[in-house]
Amino acid sequence: MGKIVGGFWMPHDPVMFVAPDAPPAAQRDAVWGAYAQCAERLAALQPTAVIIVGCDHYILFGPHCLPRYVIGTGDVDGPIDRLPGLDRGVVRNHQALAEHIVHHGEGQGVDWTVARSFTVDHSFSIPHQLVVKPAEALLGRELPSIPVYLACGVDPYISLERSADLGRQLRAAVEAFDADERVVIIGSGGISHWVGTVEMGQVAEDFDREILAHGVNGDLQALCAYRDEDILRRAGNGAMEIRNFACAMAALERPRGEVIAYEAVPAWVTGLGFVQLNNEEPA
Amino acid sequence: MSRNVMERVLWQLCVERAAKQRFREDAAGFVQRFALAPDEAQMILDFDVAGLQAAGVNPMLTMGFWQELSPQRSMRVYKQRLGCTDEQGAGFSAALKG
Repeated sequence: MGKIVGGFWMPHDPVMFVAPDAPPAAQRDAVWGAYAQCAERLAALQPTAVIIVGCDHYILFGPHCLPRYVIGTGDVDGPIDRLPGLDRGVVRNHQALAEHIVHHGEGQGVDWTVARSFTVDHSFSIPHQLVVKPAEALLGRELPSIPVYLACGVDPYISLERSADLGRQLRAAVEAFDADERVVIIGSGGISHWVGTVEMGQVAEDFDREILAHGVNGDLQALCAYRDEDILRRAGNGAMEIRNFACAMAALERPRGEVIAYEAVPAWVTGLGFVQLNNEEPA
Repeated sequence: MSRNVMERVLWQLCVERAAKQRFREDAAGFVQRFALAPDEAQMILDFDVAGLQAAGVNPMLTMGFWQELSPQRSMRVYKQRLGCTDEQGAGFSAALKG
């Protein structure tokens, strides 16, 4: 029987790579340091596999086909978007577990869209290269990583509740897997940022800290209670990525969070939050 | 307004190398291949990102289109074309001033 042994929320801000020196040194050191901390904490969980929940930015999928949720079950490579310092290459997937998640979902009324050959974007590759790869170096072994993509960037958006449903489905599938897997799930994205709109460059720290508090409290109900129009107004179209947070949080049975770092970084056009999610021990 | 067609045109111009090249060579000829109303085609030819967004086009596409193909490519100009205030422009990321 497999187990989701932990989770993380972390950002995937491409501007960090385009202009690494734009923010004050203290801020950029805090953010890069947070990724390093996440890598150490990931390795400490002794995982055997990782699921990274990302989202398309209207690059991978076009108006001819806009899936609400996708899982990569086969060959994975990327990122498709070239960023300085982010290498493009092949990613080792856990094909057996990914295919099991799909088959298990069929029995639960969850019909995954499947990408048997999938090129990811930076929403997968930034956590993978800044956290999973360093954790592999610490552990001295590979961590196969499964991409799951939710529709956060392009409408029709997946709902927050449905995102949480998928997290629960991922947990059930992992627990029904034959092998003794220890899986960590990463919700990639957020927090506040406006992409391509006139507000781009603003950061909504009050919203960000609300979201972080929901993570600390493991309050999935509060996280899923936001209306889309309020997220868009208060924190921008990029903040719709809290769907990935909901999915990751719901994959843990009794989640409680710890904030690793938060920086509001206008120079990187984003409020950058890092949270570790743990399973609270039953009383 | 045909948001769907405008998004299809802009998506192709953001991700397909051949489409970008055809647009650079003959922008008017390129947009004529799509079922766009004259004002919709003109918004694309004019890089009218504010008009495109007002028509419902996803801002990720207007930004990508601007960065890929506009004559200026400056993100500060992009925000000005969206009608940013002085405060919004002044506070804009140094990383994206282009």
